[in-house]
Amino acid sequence: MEKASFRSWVIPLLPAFILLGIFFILPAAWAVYISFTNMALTGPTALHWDFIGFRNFYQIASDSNFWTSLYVTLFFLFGSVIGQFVIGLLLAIYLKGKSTFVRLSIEALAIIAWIMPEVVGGFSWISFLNYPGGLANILLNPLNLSQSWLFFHPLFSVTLANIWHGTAFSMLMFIAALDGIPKEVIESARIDGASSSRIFFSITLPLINTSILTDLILITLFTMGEFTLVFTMTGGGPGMATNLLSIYAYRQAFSFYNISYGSAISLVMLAIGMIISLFYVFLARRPAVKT
Amino acid sequence: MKMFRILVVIAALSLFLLGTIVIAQQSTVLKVAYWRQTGTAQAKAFDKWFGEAISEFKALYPNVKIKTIAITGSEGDYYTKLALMMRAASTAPDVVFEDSFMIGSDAAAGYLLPINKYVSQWQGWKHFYPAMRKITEFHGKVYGVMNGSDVRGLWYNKKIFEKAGIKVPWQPKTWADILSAAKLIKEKLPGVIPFSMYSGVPDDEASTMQGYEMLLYGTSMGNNALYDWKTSKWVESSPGIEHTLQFIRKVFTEGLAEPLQYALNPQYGSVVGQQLLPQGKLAIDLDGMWVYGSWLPTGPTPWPEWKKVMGFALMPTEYGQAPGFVSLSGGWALSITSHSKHPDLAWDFIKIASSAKNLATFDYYVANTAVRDDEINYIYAKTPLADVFANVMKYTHYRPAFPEYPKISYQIDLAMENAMLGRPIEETMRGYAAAVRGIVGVENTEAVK
Repeated sequence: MEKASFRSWVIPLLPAFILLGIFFILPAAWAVYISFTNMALTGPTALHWDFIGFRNFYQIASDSNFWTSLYVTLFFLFGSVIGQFVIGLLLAIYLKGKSTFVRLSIEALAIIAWIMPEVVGGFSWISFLNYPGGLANILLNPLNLSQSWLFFHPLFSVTLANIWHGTAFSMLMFIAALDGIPKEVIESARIDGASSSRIFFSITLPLINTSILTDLILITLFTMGEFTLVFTMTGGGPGMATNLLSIYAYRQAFSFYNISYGSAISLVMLAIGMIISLFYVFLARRPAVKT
Repeated sequence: MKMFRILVVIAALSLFLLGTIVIAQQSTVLKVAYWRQTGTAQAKAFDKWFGEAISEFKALYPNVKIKTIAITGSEGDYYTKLALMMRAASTAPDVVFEDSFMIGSDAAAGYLLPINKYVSQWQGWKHFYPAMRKITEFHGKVYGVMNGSDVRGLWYNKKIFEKAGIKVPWQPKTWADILSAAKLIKEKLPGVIPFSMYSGVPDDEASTMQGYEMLLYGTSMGNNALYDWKTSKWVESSPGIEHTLQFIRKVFTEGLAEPLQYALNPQYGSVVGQQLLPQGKLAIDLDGMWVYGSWLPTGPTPWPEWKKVMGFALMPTEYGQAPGFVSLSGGWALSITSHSKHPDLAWDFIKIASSAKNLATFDYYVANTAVRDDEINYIYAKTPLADVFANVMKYTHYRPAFPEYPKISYQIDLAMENAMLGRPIEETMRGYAAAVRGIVGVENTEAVK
């Protein structure tokens, strides 16, 4: 009987296990393995590599370009996450109870930005921020703020582009979560005399707590892995100004053919993503303060 | 009856054997991988060149099928893809088209087959210019046959020069001559960018080769200025490096060169060739000879008057010291991979593709400099300024194509960027020296006073 039940769940899942194994677990394990070697894509260690233990990680620790990239990544990460989270939540609240027309138009606009291929989005931003003829500079000209944004404020510009690109995801998550709150709860609070802000902070926010946590974790991980949009807009430059860890890892692996060092950097990125996610989980698990 | 059965078995076996042989013969496939820049003159040149070479090869080996593998994408992505293909016997092509500066790395990796035994018996080899025979050597072995090269120098706009009162044709003798012309143009024609060079990280190796090295190889150490061939060490610091960085700092901080936001745009190469030069907004451009390719009727911005407007001057050495001028040359080669199952056939294909006539076709259509002295007898003779570029070949250098070169190139680009932003040269040089030591090891560097 036990054997049958084992078979009854293993066999249907087998294709999924095999696919996951081939396309996810094996490559990931391979990446972990080569992080501890000196394998390169060309040169003497291309086919005859050695196991070098933690040497790549020691090198990362003393690599000033890595620390610059980490700083750039953290700025980009927190800027994007806060921006996407706040704007997404505000849009969701604003859209609640609005007419279908308004709702659909705004949702459609946000979703277009989200589903647009990142290369297309990147080029749109380049022409939007183009100096002196881009739309942004034409609009900012009366305020005397017209300038080469990608040159003088590159990190701010790519963060803004990423907020534009990713906000729809948070918005959709929060629309679904807000729709899930029973009307009766809000109505009875209102009958009890609660103000709108009181309702928001004491009822709405606690009830969509899980959605907030999921949203934060997901957009953090999406942003950690962000590459295409920024690479299209600036190539990581000027200098190192927008050189995200993902771009730095790519350059090491595929411009300098140092695939093992690139892999080691991506492992460090994975660790950072996990630490931040654990931090969110820890925050969310803390007992809510009752007033 | 028994005899009949045996006969049937023998007949069946022989048929089977014959069939296998025929199938095996027909299924000999020679895989040739190359980089295709879709929609450009390069792609058209490849179609003509490979088209002719393949039909000649077919006449010789009707049973061998040639499969061309066109890889599109950026140059960096092409090398990556090629390296990944060459790693394994099952994916390795037989013949690969490679930039000469990758040959050292790929030979060290064991991806390429030495071809000394083939070239030594080939009549055509002696027609290659000496520098073009040397450039594909690594540790004394030849790993490829060059199919086109290039030279670098100073493109200048004669009309702007005349307006500024500078006599044309112009041929500066020293760096100071270039700077004084640029200053004069800045003074007299405020809307024009006086001087342009590739510089900084976004333009990758183009900054190193078209910019930095064109200056550095013209300083006192000449051919040993970047990598000292006499001591087999990388030069981590020298007066030449200092003067080169000072020149870069001067042109970018004194408004003689293009604005920083132009220079640090990864697409700057096409901005120069397709906009600034044809629109008359740039006076002097330190660049590759291929720039005119954009202005041909087949190029992206046809400019019929370019021959009247543009001149090409040689890049002088720092003080005009012997040999007086400097150029850098690169170019691409065809190589055989070490995993190739048909190296002899691969060589025959390379030999056919590298005949004077076939290379002349390729180099003419792709706007290359000839690598053989007899290409001029064919269509290559129609290349504009062919004699000027052939003259520059006399002064040319090539890059030290060692596995460390791409990493050192990146450090050079960073140092250039510091100089462009006006940061102190001593600090930049200290950073560069430390980085070079980190890449090649302190025992492989030297500081020259």
